[in-house]
Amino acid sequence: MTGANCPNCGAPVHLMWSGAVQTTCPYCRSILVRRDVNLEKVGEVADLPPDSSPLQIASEGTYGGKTFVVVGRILYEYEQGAWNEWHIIFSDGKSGWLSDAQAEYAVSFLTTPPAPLPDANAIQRGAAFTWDSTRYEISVITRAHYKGVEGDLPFEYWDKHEAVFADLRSYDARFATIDYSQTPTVLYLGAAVDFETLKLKNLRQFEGWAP
Amino acid sequence: VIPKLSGLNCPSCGAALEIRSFGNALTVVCPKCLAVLDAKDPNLRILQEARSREKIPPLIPLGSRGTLSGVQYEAIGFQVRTVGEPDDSYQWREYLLFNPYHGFRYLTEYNGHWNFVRTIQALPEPVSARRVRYEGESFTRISGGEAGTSYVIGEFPWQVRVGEMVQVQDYIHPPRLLSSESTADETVWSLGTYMAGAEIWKAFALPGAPLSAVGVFENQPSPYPADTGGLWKMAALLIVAALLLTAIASALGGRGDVYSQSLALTNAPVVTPPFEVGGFTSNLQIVTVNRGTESVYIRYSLIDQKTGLATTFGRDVYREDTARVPSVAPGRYYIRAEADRYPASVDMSVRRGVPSMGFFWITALLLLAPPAVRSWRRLGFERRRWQENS
Repeated sequence: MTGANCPNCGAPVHLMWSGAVQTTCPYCRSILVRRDVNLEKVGEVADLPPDSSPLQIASEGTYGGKTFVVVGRILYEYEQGAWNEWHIIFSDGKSGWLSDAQAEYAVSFLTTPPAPLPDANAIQRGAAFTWDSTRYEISVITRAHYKGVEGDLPFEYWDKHEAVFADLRSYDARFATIDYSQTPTVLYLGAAVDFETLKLKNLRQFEGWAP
Repeated sequence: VIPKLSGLNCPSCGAALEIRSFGNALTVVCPKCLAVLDAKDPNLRILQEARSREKIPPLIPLGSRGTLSGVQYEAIGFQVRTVGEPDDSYQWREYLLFNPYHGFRYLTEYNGHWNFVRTIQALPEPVSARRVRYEGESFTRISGGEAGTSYVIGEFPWQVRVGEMVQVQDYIHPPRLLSSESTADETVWSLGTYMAGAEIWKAFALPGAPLSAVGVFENQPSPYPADTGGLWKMAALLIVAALLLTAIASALGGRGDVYSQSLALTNAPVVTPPFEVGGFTSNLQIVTVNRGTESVYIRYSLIDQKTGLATTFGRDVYREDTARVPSVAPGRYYIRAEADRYPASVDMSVRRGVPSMGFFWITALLLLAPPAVRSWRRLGFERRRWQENS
């Protein structure tokens, strides 16, 4: 199923990714979840605050020698600003995340941790973990507010409030995020990337700036 | 197209305000009245009243655009930051640059020294109390302290306040500079690359000329290249060559004993029979050994048999004396010897092509001078770097 109608407004809803578990209706902003062959409305996206990411649904880019397309996003806000987790689908069908925090970009993938992750109240800055033989250190713990979703996501993600994230860094540019917004807690491993190396296409434009 | 926010006015003084970083701005400081405003609030709520009315004009005016490393950036924020106690402090100026795709960069300026800076996502690896490793290079700690924001205008993607303090540490591997800024919640690392004022002026098409840089800055590249090793190696090679040439010259000079005779000196001069001096023009050494117990002054004349030209010199001989006659052409010579005190008995021997080490040592010193001067200057520059910035 890649095409269906919005159960709320009847508009055609086109899934960009066949593995999507959740999407949003681009017309009435209903959050739609797949139930067997049907889409069910579970909520509604509030007005997304004006954000300044150059990315958008259907932007394309390259990472690790493979092309990807942006199919969805989750938007978070915290006291020092906002960031987007763009859900990207690679040419081989693999799902990943491209985060854009004030134009600092990183690509990461959902990873199964070899050992259970510590509880949110048991972590502190400087704590170190080793995953994939790389040492990661917690550099910052962020309490963020879920602000909204857009497009196709690999899981149900709505009705969220505050979420805790631990960002971890390594001695090279690899990084990790422990995401406490989901149960059980999930781990993302990835790397910081430069804008140039992503070779992004179909970006948004900014008044007064050449793309 | 994402539109620019427009029609904004400072709630404190009414001046028109421009937001240049779209939705990224979190705080904006009115350049007219210096009030700190909440950029996320539609009414630009006042977060901090101006602490002072004194204005500090940025060298790069807000709104100017310039191209650095091939990317165009707009200057959107400016702060003056102070480290140290009021009676012993120094200040540097920081410009926030923005490109909607490439993000935020910084230019810092201290005494005419500039750095193009970006935050890094990797964590430099501590290797000792004074060193960290980043991208395969070792950076050495040069300075640190508590830095405060003493003046700020324009917009920032973070909460900015006048008087806010952070812990800063600088590590250098010229021309790169790693800085850490720590608050209670987070340590942010950034990497700076040294730039000359002229490059900034050119990039932003600023009028006039930059003030010339004062002193030596933390990560200023040394004008004396690091590879003095090459110069030293070259000097060593040339010295070995000079040594070889000296040896070859003395060998070709027909090195060896030419003539020897015991002289019984009386009131009449002693004249030796002619002897052959071979090789090519080089020195001749006359060694005199006094067989008596009192010193004797001997006047020697080395006479070219063919031309009759004489080289005359006097020697005071106590026990043993070596005289050197430079540049003696090959040919037949004889020696005339005359003593001021007689009778006297001495053994005289004449040797050819004895290498003149004096010339060699002068050559060696001249060859060593360039690398020595270069290394000395480099060390002096490094000493100033550490004296002026530690």
